[in-house]
Amino acid sequence: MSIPSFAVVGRVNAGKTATLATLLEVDDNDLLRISSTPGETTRVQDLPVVYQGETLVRFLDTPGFQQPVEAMRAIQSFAGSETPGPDQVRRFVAECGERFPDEVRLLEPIMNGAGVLYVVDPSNPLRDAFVAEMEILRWTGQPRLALLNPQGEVPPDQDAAWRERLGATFNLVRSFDAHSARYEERRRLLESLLQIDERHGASIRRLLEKMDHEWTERREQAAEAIVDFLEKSLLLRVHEPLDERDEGLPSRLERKKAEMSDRYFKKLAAIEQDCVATLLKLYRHHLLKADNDLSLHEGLDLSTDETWRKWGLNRTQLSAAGALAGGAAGAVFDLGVGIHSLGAGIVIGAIGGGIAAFFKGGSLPELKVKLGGIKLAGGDGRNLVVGPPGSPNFPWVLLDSMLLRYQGILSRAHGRRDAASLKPPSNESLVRSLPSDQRGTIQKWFTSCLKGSPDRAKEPEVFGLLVVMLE
Amino acid sequence: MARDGSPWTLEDLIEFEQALAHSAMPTSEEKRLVSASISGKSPESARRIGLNEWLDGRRSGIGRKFTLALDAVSLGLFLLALSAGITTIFGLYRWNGINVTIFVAVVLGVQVAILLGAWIAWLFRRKAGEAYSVVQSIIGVLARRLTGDRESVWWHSLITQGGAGRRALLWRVARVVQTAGIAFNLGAIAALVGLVLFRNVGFFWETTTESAMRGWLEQAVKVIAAPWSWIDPASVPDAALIDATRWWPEKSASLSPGPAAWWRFLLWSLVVWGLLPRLILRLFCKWNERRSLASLDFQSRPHRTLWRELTGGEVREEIAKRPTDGALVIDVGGAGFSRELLRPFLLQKLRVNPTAWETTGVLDPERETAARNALTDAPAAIVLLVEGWALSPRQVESLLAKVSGLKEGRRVILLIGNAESNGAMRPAEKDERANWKRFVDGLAGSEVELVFYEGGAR
Repeated sequence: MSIPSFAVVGRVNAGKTATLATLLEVDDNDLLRISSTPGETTRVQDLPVVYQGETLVRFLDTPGFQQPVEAMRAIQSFAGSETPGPDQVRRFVAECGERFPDEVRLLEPIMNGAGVLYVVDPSNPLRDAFVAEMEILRWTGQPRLALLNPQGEVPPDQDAAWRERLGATFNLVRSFDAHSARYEERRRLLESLLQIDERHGASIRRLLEKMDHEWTERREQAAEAIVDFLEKSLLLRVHEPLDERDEGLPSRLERKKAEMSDRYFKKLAAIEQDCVATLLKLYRHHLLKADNDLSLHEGLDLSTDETWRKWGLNRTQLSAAGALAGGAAGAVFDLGVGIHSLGAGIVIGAIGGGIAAFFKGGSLPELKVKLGGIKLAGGDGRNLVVGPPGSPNFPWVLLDSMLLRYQGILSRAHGRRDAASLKPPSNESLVRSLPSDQRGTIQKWFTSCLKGSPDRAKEPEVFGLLVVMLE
Repeated sequence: MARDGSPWTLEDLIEFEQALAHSAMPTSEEKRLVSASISGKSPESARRIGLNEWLDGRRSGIGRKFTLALDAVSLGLFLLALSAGITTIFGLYRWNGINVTIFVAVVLGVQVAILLGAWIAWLFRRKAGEAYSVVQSIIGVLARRLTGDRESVWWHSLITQGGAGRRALLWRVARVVQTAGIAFNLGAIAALVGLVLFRNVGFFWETTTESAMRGWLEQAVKVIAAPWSWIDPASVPDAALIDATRWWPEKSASLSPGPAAWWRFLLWSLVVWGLLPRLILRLFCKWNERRSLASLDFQSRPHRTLWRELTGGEVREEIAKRPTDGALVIDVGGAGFSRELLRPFLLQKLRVNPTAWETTGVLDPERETAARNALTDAPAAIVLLVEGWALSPRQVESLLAKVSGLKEGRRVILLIGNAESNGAMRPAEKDERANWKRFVDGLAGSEVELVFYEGGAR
């Protein structure tokens, strides 16, 4: 069975390459060049969609129309008084390469059987040149899909005019913003190909199936990365032996604590950047980089008050989650004493957990500092352990910040070529909208991680919740 | 909870963890087999069935070894507990008699205390380490030692992952302990029956208190005998019998055998409060083990990774082919043309994309490698930028000769224009163009394209 192929055509600078870059998730400018310079694409570029060595669909990036009106006349001249058709276009391709090199290059694959994806920018007014392009494409007799790729403000009447004209010439008209399209839009576009090219329905359906499978798998891998990030972050501690001189001088002790706190946050930032880098790689973003410079770190800046206010749970939710976790611990006590405590464990645990979370939840990230170990004769002293922040909201802030950045990665189209740092589409907390039972489950796992022994039996549940949250 | 027609045994589970710990990436054949086995199955059952299929090709026998070792440990413990039961009863038999209070305290009280401890340990089972109790932990160590598998990677995987796998393993070990408990009670029952049948045993109790112990004993007998008192009332010693069997120092020499109510009471106690709970607990352990095995969902992190490796691989290959319009641009004479300013002209008029910029030196023999490297990304053309006034026939001929050795099917373009101070190119003068035309026309057999810069690109 032949491989379905689709030539992406349109006027110079209509956004053909950007459309393909977004559709195929290519943000490498060496592979698909996108710029404001007209004529950036000089020849046909074959872009196969390959899964496990099997090419399912082939897209062809083409140079834009440069002289559509003249080319249309040349084709008409071959037809004489009749309406031109594929034969005349084929003759044009065979004979007019010298005069119309770009038009011939873009029409050649279409005359060899490729379907047409015609990209137009509806923010431009509908001129004769566009009409000429549409006519030429109509004469090819191949299945045709028109894509409206707005690169600016589109007046409503202009949009209507475009749609009406395109509707008369093309089998299907769809909108596709190459600079903001997400997975759902990309999928819809590919689904549209089914409607214009029934011959290759099986291949396209298989492609959609594989894409969905890959997307699900990516989401699971993203959830793995986030679980891993949370676990590593919550287990993170900075240890340092404390000698007698340090213990004796408060100023030295304070300096040591400050230095260790600094190391703690640097390590935390490194863990976080690892996670962001994994997510970027998963979603094929090579242009976006996880920030390395802490001063430019726009993601999780735990040293600012704002982070703790806008992200994580609010006080009420935090208290409820704390109460749930405390209640669960109290329930174990109740069972342990054969319910003779008449549920007092649950009540005390819940109240204690809730109150602690309420009062500590809004506090700034004061790191926990512990002096551990036994000072032995002749030994170097005790251990100073720094981290994690004492606020019960800390894990929720971490989760929220990562979920928001995940959203930012998903909403970044590959057709963009600016290397701006990763910004989420919104700064609204995502964890605050979680149902309370899910918050309770996650809180229990957080608590086990903060205590230094992650609850492995609970982790699959948290993973499952995260997969759903990433949808 | 996953329940389906794909039964997993503890042996399978151990084999699976061992294989997972030592496994390389799944082969394509394994992927094919797994894919075939889960075709048409529900998502809940697919993972159990698919992973079982994967396991079939990777079994090492460690699961069987462990369960055999556990059986051996269980048998050893059974015999040990049986003899412990017998010797305990014989230990309690002194002066032709058995002190019933000590009998109840030692034989039943200790067992009840152990069960109570086990129940508390079970309540805190999530906090439990490698077993629900110390005895179980020792059994686990012994069985692993017997397999000869010192690392026991599978054991640590199951224990640290928690969930149904850990539960199944620990319930199996707990079952071994209950078997030993059964053996102890069987031993005690056999010894008591043996003593009653073959020795002259008198049953008594003693105390220093006047009436406190007597009252307690009467109550305790009632409570202990409650389950069977309605079946066999004769086996419940009443107040008169309790009084009659109190041991006084002056009566010690004349301790008479029986009475029958006491030994029947003790026998019933052993059966109802010793043997029966152990039997029930053993069944409970077995039921829990089965239930845990049936609820295996293989959702821990290593399991998820393996499952993705087996069923995934649906990763679209990256687009790797670069555009074929790359050109090497050589600034002949180093006029300092701006790349940014000249790029639109090269793209729009010459339809090539400048991927590499060099000065004339790149064509020198000693920099041949640099030239070849620069050409890697420039499959379309070599563009020589020459200023209009700088036509030096010998130099250009020499350059073209060098280029012809490198071009390998690429277009060779001589782009003529003059340099502005900002690096832009301006058109060459009329006479300069005429000179260049004459020069290129005179190059016999040359395929060089002569292009004069005209501007007009943006």
